[in-house]
Amino acid sequence: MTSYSLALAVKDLKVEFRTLRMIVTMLIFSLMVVMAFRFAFLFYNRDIEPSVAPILWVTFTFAGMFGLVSSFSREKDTGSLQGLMLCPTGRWSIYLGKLLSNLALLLIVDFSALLFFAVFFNFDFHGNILPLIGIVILGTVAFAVIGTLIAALSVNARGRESLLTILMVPLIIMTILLPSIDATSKVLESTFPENEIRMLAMFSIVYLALSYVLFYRVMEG
Amino acid sequence: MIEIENLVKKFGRKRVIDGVNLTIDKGNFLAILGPNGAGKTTLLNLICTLLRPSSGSILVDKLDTKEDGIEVRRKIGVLAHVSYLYDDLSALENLKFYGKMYGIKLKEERIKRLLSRVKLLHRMNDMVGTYSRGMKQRLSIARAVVHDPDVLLLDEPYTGLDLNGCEILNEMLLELGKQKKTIVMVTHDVERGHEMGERLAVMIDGKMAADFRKEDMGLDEFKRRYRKLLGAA
Repeated sequence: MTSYSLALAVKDLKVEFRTLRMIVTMLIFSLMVVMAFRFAFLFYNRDIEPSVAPILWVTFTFAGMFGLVSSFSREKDTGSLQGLMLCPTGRWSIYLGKLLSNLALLLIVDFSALLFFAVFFNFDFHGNILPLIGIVILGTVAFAVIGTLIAALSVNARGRESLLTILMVPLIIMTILLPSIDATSKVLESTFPENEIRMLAMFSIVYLALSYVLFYRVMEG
Repeated sequence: MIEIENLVKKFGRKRVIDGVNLTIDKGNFLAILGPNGAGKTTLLNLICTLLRPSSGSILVDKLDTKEDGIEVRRKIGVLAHVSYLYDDLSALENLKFYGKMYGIKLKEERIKRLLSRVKLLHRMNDMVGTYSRGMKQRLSIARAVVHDPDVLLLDEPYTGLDLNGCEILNEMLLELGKQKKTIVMVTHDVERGHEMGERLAVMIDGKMAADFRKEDMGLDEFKRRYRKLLGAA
């Protein structure tokens, strides 16, 4: 991690917490999703247990996409992305800086969504909160790694919000979403999700390597 | 300081820069003039590594822009009509951030001196989003020289500046000239180009159509030749 990446991440987070532009939207969106599921389950009076993990990860995923869209687009729209490109840093440092700030935002939103879920469903995660936090962190790292690359890729496109979703969802379903859902379910059943952790770690590395190769071309393009 | 050889840049099939050769010595002030779409901004973007040449080469202080992009960028400051500033940071925070991105730890004293030169010291803690267009452009001048670059690339730098802002920019450019900084300014303002530049290059359709020394001709003569070149194109 270079000092450039750190400076960029700190700047991004300072701007975000000063303006609250994305984080409030992401938090409200995750609150709305959790509330919608709460009312749905009230109406049908079904057992929540098997649906906890899918509800959590659908919430994390779609709330997260809101944040990813703006990670490059705001700078693109104001022209300051070019200012960044003129700095004597490798493009990789810019990627790492953006990854750091995205990850921080996503984790704040994910943990808030966990809290919303616990409150609205009166759910205590069966005392497995620490392992659950570990899985959330691992899944979110993988999501942020590929999400940062896709956000950069879609920033020059018209309709970049929809393009990000269209590119992201097929990529993450099998590689991040399903392993995270399985891992979360197993953790809630007090089982150690070894295979899922291995898969999430492997795809984090694969996507990081892919970003290393492609980010330069994406930015230069 | 800057050596450009057989430079070509294509966008699709269109040759936006078409075989440009140009040498700019250290401490020279080159004004590049030309009509809209002549390729002036593209040429600057190639020098500052925002774009990669399709063929040919650009050396900045013997460093190839294709191979040594990071080192080239360290030597270059860019002032364009886009400010590259963050509206939600103050002037002080913007300059501190760019200082960090250029790998230098700026002392607050130096930042204040820069802000004082562009007459923004009294607004240094205000968000840049509250600045007028001219104030942003003045702050951009400070941003462009925050890392004390050897080469300054200016793309229509007077856009948005009021009379006071123009004077500040002129003063700074003269001072940078005295410090033997190499300056390349792209403009379509013939009078401004003639006033500031020591060398006057004319670019038309991606080619260098002419290259004059200011001492060889006055403004009227230059205007006459410039019109003739445009008419011939």
